Amino acid sequence: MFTSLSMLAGDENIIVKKARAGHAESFGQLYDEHHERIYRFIYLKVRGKEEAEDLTHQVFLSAWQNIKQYALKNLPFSSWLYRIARNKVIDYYRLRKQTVNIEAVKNVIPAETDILASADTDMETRAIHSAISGLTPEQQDVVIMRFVEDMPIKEVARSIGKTVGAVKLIQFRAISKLKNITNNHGENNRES
Amino acid sequence: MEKIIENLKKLRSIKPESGFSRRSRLLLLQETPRPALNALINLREVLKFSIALSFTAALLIITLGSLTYIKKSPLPLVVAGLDVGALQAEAESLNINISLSELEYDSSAATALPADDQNQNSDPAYFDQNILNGETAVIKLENPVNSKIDDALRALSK
Repeated sequence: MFTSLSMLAGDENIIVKKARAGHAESFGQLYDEHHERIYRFIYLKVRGKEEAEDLTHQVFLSAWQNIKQYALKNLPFSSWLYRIARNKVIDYYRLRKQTVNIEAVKNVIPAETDILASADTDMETRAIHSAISGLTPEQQDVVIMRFVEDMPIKEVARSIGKTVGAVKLIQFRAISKLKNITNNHGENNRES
Repeated sequence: MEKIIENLKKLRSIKPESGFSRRSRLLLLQETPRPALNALINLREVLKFSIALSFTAALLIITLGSLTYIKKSPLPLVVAGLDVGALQAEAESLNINISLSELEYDSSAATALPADDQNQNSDPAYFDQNILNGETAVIKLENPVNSKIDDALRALSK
């Protein structure tokens, strides 16, 4: 059975406890609850469907294998998952840097072999998706968590290991940068 | 800015394919979680081990340092520039000298016997006749009175 649950914090804690005790179906419930968000987070950072699927699977595999260490982390389960996801994305880019020249790949494969290209989405949404790649990894994290996922600023801070003040600053700079990128993109489109 | 945030929210439409989600879920649940690490016990064990290791290392350093210091320190018998071989040869030659001098001493002792031995020996060959004659004349064996001593005593009693 595959359902998407919307859990309350108390319910989630009970499910996490069961999962920690080795109850696979409880971890399945956690997967159902969080996998879309984690997939989206990864997808917006790596911009490739297959890579996003592969990394999402790795994130949940790591989480399941190390679920018994989660209690020591003292942060919400979703924040723990985002931390794993961030590390997986960092590893992905590190490995990719070692094996291929990204610029060379960009010239061969179209940048967006993605869901958005095939979906019925407007130009502005696609533009903003492209613009995200112009941000630093930290700015991307904050923008995705805050504005795509609507996460409270406190939880974002815990997920990326920063203070609330630092997250606010990153957020401000990220939005300003996105504004510049989208404005430039619009001007270029008008000229062409 | 609001337009940007609005567009960012639209990105929430990105979702994984249901086929992937189902497949991934099934694969995940076939795995088993790794056993928990009891962090506190581990920390205590690590601490105990590291303390023991530190003490062992410190003891080893002190021992080695002491040995090195003793080896390098200028003790009386280990003065820099002293040739141990030469010293040994000298010691050996010294022993030879001692034995030679002892031999000399023994030979002289054989010719000049101590007075005790002369007294015990009744052989007349050991008496010097001239000395005996001189002594006999002074002592006056027939009337062994020394007048000089008598005079001295008389003078003292006055």
